[in-house]
Amino acid sequence: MPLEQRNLPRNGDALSLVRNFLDNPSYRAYKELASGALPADIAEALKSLSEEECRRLLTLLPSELTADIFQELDIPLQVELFGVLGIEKTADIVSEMDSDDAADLLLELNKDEAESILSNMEEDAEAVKDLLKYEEDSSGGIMASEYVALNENWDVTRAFDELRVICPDSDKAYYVYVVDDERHLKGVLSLRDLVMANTTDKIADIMSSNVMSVKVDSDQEEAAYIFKKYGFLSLPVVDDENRLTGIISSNDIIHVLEDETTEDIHKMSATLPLEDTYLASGIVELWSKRVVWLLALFITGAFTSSIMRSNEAILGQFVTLIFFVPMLIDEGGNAGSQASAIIIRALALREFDLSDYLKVIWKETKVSLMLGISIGLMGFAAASIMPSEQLLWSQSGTIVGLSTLLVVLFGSVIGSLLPLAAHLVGFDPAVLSGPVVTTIVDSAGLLIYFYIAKSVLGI
Amino acid sequence: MDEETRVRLEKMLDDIKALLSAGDSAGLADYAGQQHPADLAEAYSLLSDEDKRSLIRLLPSELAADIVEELDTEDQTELVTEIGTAKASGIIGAMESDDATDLLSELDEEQTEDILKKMGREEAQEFKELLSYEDDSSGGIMGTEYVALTPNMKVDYALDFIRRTGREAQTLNDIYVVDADERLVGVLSLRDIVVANPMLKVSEIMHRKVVKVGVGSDQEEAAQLFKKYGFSALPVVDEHDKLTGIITADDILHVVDEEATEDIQKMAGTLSSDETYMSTRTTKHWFNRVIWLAILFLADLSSGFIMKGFEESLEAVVSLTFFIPLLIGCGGNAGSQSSAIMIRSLALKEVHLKDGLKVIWKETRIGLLLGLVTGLAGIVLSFLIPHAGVNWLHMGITIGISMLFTVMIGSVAGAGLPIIAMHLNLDPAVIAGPLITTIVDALGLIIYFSTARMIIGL
Repeated sequence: MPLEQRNLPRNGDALSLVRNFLDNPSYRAYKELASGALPADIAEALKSLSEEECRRLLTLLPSELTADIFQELDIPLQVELFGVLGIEKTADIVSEMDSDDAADLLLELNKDEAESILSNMEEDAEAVKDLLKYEEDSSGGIMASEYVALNENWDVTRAFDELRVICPDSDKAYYVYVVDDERHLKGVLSLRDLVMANTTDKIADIMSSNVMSVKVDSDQEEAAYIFKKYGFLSLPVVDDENRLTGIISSNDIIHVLEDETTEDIHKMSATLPLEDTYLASGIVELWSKRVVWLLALFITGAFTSSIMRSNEAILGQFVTLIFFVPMLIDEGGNAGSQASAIIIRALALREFDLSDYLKVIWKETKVSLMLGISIGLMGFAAASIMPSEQLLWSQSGTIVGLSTLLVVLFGSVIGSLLPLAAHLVGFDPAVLSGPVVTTIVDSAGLLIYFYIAKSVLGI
Repeated sequence: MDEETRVRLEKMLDDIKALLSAGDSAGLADYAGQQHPADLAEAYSLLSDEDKRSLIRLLPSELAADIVEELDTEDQTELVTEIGTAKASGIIGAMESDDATDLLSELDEEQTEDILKKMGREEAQEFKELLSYEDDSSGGIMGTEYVALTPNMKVDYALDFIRRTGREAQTLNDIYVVDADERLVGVLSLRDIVVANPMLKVSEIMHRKVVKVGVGSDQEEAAQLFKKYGFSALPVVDEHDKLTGIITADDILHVVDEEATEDIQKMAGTLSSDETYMSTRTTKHWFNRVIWLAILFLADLSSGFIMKGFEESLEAVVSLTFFIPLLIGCGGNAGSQSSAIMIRSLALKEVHLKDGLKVIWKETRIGLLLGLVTGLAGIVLSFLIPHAGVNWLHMGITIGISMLFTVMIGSVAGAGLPIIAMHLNLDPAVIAGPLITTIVDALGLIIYFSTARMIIGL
């Protein structure tokens, strides 16, 4: 094929290469498939195949390629294929997979299945088993054990000899870590440093001893933060005694960032975080993740009914007042949602820390006041223009304008204070956002509104 | 900041101050060379303005560049203005090209011109090219520090070539192969080269299947490829397939964060901004929020008009008003939930346009289940809140039915409208909580009063 026509791999291409191979599983068709499609493309093509075709394909291909394809699949699909392929074949595949992906799959299987796969694995069973004991969202839970470690006492020639032996197994070696005889992390080298060094240099002399690491039981967000701050391609993970136990690579962190954001967005909209994708979650699951908060908010929201009820007299006399209620409480809620979302995101990205709290609160107060005045003026204008038989234009304008000002001010201040306070006492700020703030503002807003109405009308 | 970091930082600060007051530039260079640039940048930010300037002046350009790379754009531009374009051009030239380009694009045109003039012709030309790409395109985030081999090089020569030219490269994990016209024809890792037979040709050991991205494509496209293939670096090519730069995985972390922040801000009804909270001025904060608040205010007035249309019913049964805030609040919450879930699923490409009908059918059923629960709760509540002028059973049924339908409509609209927005090539993130709430308010009130008229017979 002429070079200029070789475009980005398309899944259609991968699928037809797969079908070619299945129709006639010759060495030639295999070569075409292996050089014409990347594992991730074949994985995507797999979704269009029948179960039987998948089984044939994965059995016919060499297990190294099968493993590369397998680890690109979504975990539920991996579990499904496990049922199709059986324990022995799966164990073959799992022992060729990257250890972190292998551990992720085993965690999804039930204990017996995981056990029998581990006992059928020819190599790396121990490494994968070790990974299983860490919390899923800890640094240990996302690390892989395919790191490259050199001893500080070796020279460059010895290092290269060792690398030739270790390397082929390790896709993730961006840096080479340096350890002492007890595997304590001592330093770091890039492959670049190694290639450029003299063959007789001692590793300890050419390494950088300023090496950043995370503890195996730290939260994965900690690792993500370090990656973002320092721009590494990989990060070593150490145990309590500073012994090297694994590495995290920067593309693992892409998924961490996305998962954390998804979790935050779900929480911010009063939903318990979903474990699966939307389409893969059942109706009852989606319902249960949402109904909990919906009911909790219903109960707090029910205060509005009793507030309205206790102002029945004034509502009966001036029905016009009710017309502005939805606008008033919505705008208070909106201002609160804005403030809380902005603060929650800034906290998640660590844009400020505790020492900035007063500055943030002062800034939010000013912004809130400005917002209150802006929308309050609009409220005044709208209520003055709207014809009413019961109220003078100046009365309705004052009541609506003043309460809009105060409710927006209140909503915005509460919206920023709640997540800040939650963060201060170690709660997840994302939970105290939009819907929660809105519900608080609903009740408070009505109290403000009726209080002002009564004062202005002299009741 | 934990204790350990604080102590380390304070120690570093003291050391730097001591070296600065001694004017020991060699000592400073030696000291700074041993620290991590991000830590140095943090210590730098704590120095007085005067110390900052003298530190940058005393350090050799390469080390100063390491610090400058880690600073916020605001601090960077301030610094450039202070130290003058001559020193700045040395530092910017020593920075990684993607960071340097970001900085240059933030400066005044005059300053940029000045700085480019003080650079070598070739270097300036390269920056001019990088500056021509859109900020959020693949070209806008790529760097140009990569190593490219040619297909006919022998492996041992290639290794030697890398030794000579690779010092500046952002990554040697991926080494690219280009033909005589600089077109990208293959890729291999340093490992491939190290373990290969030294007498083979590069073309014999390279992988010909190269995933790449066009220089003008959106940065999100690059992010998608990283997610799909799990690379550490991605080559960027121009329209003739010529290799022009690379994007590394750590660049993508910032893209992922930026896109998420943008979505979250839009979902909360604010204009999105790429500045941090602290560096955004109060008036800018106000402006970003007041636009949507004003639009929503106007839209919210519709609920006033709807109620005005039902004024007689309201006057006849004032107790009807008691449940209005709760009713529209519940519908709005259900809508916020489903819209947030849907917007995120669309952003992660877990749900596609073709799934639209499936989603709406799913939300209808979930909405029904949610509506049944809140509807029942509504009936119970109506019994608990005494109300005059209307039969309690009628009131209960009215509340129950309108709660059921309002929550259902909230769920369906919350999930359906973002998908429709995407159909129309609008940003789905805008159709979130605040806007959905407003729509559900109006629909909920119509349902409520229509039901009341039917059941209570007003």
